[in-house]
Amino acid sequence: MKNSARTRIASAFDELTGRPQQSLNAAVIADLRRRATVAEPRFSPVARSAALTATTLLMVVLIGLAIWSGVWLYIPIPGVQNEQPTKLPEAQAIQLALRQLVFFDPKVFPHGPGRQDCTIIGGGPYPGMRIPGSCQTSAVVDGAGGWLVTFTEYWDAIRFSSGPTTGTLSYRVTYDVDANGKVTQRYQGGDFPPQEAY
Amino acid sequence: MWLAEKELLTETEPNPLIGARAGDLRSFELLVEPLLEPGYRLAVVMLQDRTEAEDVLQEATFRAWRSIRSFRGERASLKSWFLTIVANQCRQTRRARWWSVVRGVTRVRDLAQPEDMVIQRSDLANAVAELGHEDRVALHLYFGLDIPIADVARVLRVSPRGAKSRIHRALKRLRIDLEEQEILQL
Repeated sequence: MKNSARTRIASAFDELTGRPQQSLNAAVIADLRRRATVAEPRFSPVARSAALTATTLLMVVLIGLAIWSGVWLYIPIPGVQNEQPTKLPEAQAIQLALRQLVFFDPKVFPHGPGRQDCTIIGGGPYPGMRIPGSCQTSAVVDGAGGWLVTFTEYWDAIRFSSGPTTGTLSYRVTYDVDANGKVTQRYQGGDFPPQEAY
Repeated sequence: MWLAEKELLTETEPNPLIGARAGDLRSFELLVEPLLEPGYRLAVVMLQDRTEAEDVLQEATFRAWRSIRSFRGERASLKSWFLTIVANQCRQTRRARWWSVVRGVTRVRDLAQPEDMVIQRSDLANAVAELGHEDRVALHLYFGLDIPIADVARVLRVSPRGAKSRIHRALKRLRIDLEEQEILQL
């Protein structure tokens, strides 16, 4: 056999890579000795598993504490309104908003969250039209310690409508009650209401 | 019974592998010194850069020292184990340098230091330099470093069949016909 393929290829690689410098081995060993002496401590398997166990336990304790204290309630989640505790009680916020109610008759709305039958006193010739309907009060948390209180009246379109003659129509007023009890009207609108009839 | 204890009972001469596993640096040096040149050559073929190859070899040697305690193979398999560490270190270096992808295989032509060596290089060496990275490394491991195909596969992190296929592909490109005996080995 003149020259086997194996030998020829090995020689080709020898040509390509060349021989390493003679000092390379000494340099690598010297570097190894230097780093081995100042190397980071090599943790024994026991120490490593102990550290892992301690870390796991710590994580479990922290998660348990978070669950117990309800911390997650304060973590803002995009798109979700968190149920934060408010300084102003809900009932008090509704009372404050009811006092500001001008467009509607405050007596016909529930003094707490809910919906009840009511008679809507509309406009028109004295004493005004009377439309049977329902009145709803609702309150949702808004901002730090504040509330959004909404009063909505519903009536049947057959009874009163400036447009469609079927279905249920509604009109609402919304107030922003902040933590200090300051009331600001946020919104008023809906279908054409009986109050504005003349 | 621990493997180290077995070796102590069966071997009369001191085994540096046992010493190295026990944390003796001198024993580890005895083991690793013969492997430095193959490791360097592999790093040069993989990185196409002598300086980087030297850095990689230093780092790989230190890593081997750090992990020799967990090496459970026989001394015969130490070479492929060490070359696997070198290859992994080379991969890390290649990944760390995003611009390495734009360096062509022609860089290999500049590997041999003396200028006249480039001129004198054989046609086969030039053809090997033109091979793709993966094929060239597979060929180097099998023929250049004389490593069994199973260990070539381990270093390359492919199946033995995949390693064979790379070598066959490289040989085909080089237009080298293996002798029958070598084909059977492969």
